[in-house]
Amino acid sequence: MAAGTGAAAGGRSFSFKVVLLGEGCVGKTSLVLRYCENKFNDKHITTLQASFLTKKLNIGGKRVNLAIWDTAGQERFHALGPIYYRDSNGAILVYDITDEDSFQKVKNWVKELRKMLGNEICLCIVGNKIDLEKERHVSVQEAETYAESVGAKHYHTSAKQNKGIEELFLDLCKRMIETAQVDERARGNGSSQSGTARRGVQIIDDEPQVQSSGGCCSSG
Amino acid sequence: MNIKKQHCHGCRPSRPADESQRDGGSYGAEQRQALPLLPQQFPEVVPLNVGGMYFTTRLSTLRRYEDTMLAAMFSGRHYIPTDAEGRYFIDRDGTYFGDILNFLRSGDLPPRERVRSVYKEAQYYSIGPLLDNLEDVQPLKGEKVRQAFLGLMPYYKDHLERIIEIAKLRAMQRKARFAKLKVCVFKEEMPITPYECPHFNSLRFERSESETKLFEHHCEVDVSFGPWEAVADVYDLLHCIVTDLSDRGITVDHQCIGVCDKHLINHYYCKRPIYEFKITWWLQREEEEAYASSQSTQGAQSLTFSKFEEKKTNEKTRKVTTVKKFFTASSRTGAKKVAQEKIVKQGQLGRERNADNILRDLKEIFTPSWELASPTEEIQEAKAPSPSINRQASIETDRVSKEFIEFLKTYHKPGQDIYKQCKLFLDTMNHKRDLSIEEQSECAQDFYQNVAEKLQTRWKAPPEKVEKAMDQIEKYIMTRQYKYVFCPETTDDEKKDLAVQKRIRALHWVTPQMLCVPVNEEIPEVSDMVVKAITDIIEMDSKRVPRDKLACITKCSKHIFNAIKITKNEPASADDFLPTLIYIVLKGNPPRLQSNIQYITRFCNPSRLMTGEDGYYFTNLCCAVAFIEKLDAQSLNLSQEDFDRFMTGQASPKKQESDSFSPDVCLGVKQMYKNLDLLSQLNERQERIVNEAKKLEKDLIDWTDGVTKEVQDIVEKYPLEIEPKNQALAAIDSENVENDKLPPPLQPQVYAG
Repeated sequence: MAAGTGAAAGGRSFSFKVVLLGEGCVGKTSLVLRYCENKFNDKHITTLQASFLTKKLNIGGKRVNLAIWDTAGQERFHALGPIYYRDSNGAILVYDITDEDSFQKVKNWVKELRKMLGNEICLCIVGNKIDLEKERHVSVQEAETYAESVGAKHYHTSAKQNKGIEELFLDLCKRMIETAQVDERARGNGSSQSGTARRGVQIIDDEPQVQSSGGCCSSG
Repeated sequence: MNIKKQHCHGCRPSRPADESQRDGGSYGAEQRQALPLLPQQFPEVVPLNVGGMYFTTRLSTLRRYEDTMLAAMFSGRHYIPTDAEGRYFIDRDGTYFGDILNFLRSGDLPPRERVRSVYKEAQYYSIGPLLDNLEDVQPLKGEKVRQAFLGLMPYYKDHLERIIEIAKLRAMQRKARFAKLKVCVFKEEMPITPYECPHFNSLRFERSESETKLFEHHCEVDVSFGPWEAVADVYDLLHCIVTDLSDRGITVDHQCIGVCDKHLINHYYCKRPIYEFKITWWLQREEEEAYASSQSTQGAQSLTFSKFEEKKTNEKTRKVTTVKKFFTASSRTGAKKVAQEKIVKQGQLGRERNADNILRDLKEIFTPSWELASPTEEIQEAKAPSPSINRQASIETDRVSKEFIEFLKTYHKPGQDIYKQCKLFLDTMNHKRDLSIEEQSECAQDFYQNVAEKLQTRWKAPPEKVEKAMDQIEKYIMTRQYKYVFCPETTDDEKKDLAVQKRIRALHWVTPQMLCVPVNEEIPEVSDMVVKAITDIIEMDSKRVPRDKLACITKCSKHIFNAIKITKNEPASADDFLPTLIYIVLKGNPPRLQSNIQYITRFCNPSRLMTGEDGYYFTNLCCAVAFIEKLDAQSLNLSQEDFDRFMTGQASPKKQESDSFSPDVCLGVKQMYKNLDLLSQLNERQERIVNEAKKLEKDLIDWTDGVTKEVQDIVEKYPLEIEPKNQALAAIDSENVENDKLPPPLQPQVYAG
């Protein structure tokens, strides 16, 4: 968040960190590859990796640098989540509409994110694989109601058919810009001073956060 | 102390008047002429002159313990000379005599800092009870323990001599104030961690001599201490070395400069820590004071050392004389004479100044200012360069400074300003050494932010240029700060390092299958990438600048991605990447992992860490370490029993799956295993053939026997008999023979013709 606002102070440019959360096999990688490279299961993908991707956008004259952080979705790495998503401006929580479990997983993530980062983070809940509508196991209504109840936005996407992905990211960026601007205004005039103070707090926060999260994982 | 004050003036008035008349009057004249053999009469109160210092005490005090030298001296059996004023003279430095007297008077022991010196005096006067008492108090008690520990160290004394020898030689050769040595200190013989050596692991305990030789090597250092078997660790030993050297009057600084990266075999590196010993042959005044004060503050800070710690108040003077001796013995050049003068001077001045801390700070301030000022004239710092103060300048720091200044030249005016800012920052940081590492980190982070803001707002630099400048600033500042803020003694980073290292060693049995690592090491290209990744992550420790360390992590990550891409033929996602990184960390067991992570977190430019690609990989590394720390049976899909058995070394997962080779085995070994397999098959076949052949041979023999037997049977069954018929025939023949009446046989006839 500091990076986002720090850059914003220099001009009309923002840097955002977005984490990608979701169980393995829900199509996180395909989603982000489709967005950044516009490719799906392509044999000729030259990209070496799909775990850290960047995208530059221009939204209404505001330059946005998006850094998309993929996270390991396996259950065994669940406890490491906090290390990944600290200081992130947005989170994309992906589930597979044909897999009820993956949706339950999303619910867990949301709870955790809200607990750790409060309302400063923009959440997107994404039902992927809508090309497999026939095998849908998570009802649209259930998902949308849930999203609304936790202050997140819900999206339907298909990485295969390239549906809904542009919208998802564009929307998210707009929301993040909004949050950043509100944040900036709230801090008001003493920008540089509060900036250092904020970061100072963050540094102190950092260490215990990692440790306490580690503690959680061993018990859970 | 009170005795010292007393003795100068107090001794004469304390003598009773009558005595001085009776004895004192005749003393001087009488004693000098008297025969030494005559028994001496001593007054009740004895005036003493010990090497020019005056003491007065009761005769009974001196005679308190029999078998001591003082009791013997004043027993009357020996002659003791007196000085001009009639005091009994003992030709020995009297500095600690007061302490001796105090013990004899009331049994009081000297304060801690004097214990060692008093002990020496007590030895001289052979005061047994005092010796016994002193041996039981600190620091001598600790010294006993320390000596016991050092007794376990092979060749400790010899190595110490060698250090001094080499240092002397180098200083003389180079006519330099410093001599630097590389010293390797390692506690454990095993240069490699078990995980790095999975297939040798099972052989570990029955390792043959040739294998041991394979791992045996000598690090490229001057002296190598270790291994030893005691609880005391590397740092304790280092402390012993420093203490013993400074007892010999040698000022020594040490700093870990990395680990021996000698490649042993496959991915196995030596990894013994190497320290640079810097021996200073003569000191500036400030340094002298700082040294003394740092010696005492260090002890107060570190718990481990406190038991051996001793304040060396007299260290200073002793050291100076030693250094002087060393140089007078061979003083040829003018520089050395100057040095001597300096030493003498500083001895006088040193006593006047006691504000140790201020001076230490001063020294710290001087150091960077010279380093900064000397490489260029453009940016002048009007201070006269005093090269001798430049205690910490190393080649690398100089190089970085030069580069930095070259770089700033391209920025013109803002460049100078940046330079000033950096200098100011370094100065203030030097004042803030006492702050906790977190506070220092905060200062650094604030500085980064301020400079970046200034670059952006005041000088309107474009973002790319800002980033480049920030990189250079970070490099410059952190190269200088590194030794103070990397793994500082005030934190438990080091403990954590050791814990992680131990943990990784304990997890040597984890296979890629357990972690679901999507990398097939049987493909040569992939195993190549894995080796490169391991090398990169190990290399991280050798870098000084946070950004360079990050670059190592990034390089390692890229190699991992390559390995995944080759194996799976698709871009790696985080689901693939993290397990592989964990595997690499387990396999490589990179040195000082926690310290490096903490250092990067504290002192890296935050914008890089938050959103950049490097930051992402770094976060993954943090995750990997966190995962390894918390790793349990569940996270490897093992049953708790299996996990416990593997952890305690009761079982090894490799033995169970004997069929498949573990993929971390290198190609050659794999080939070897295959060949072995083939050989054993051949062996089997050959055995089978030999067996068959033997069977055949047996069959043949049996057959021959059979046939023979059959024949014999038949022969036996049908024995040869001369039948009567034959006799009849013979009879006929004989008859015929006898028959002469038959016409003679036809004779060939020759016809002439």
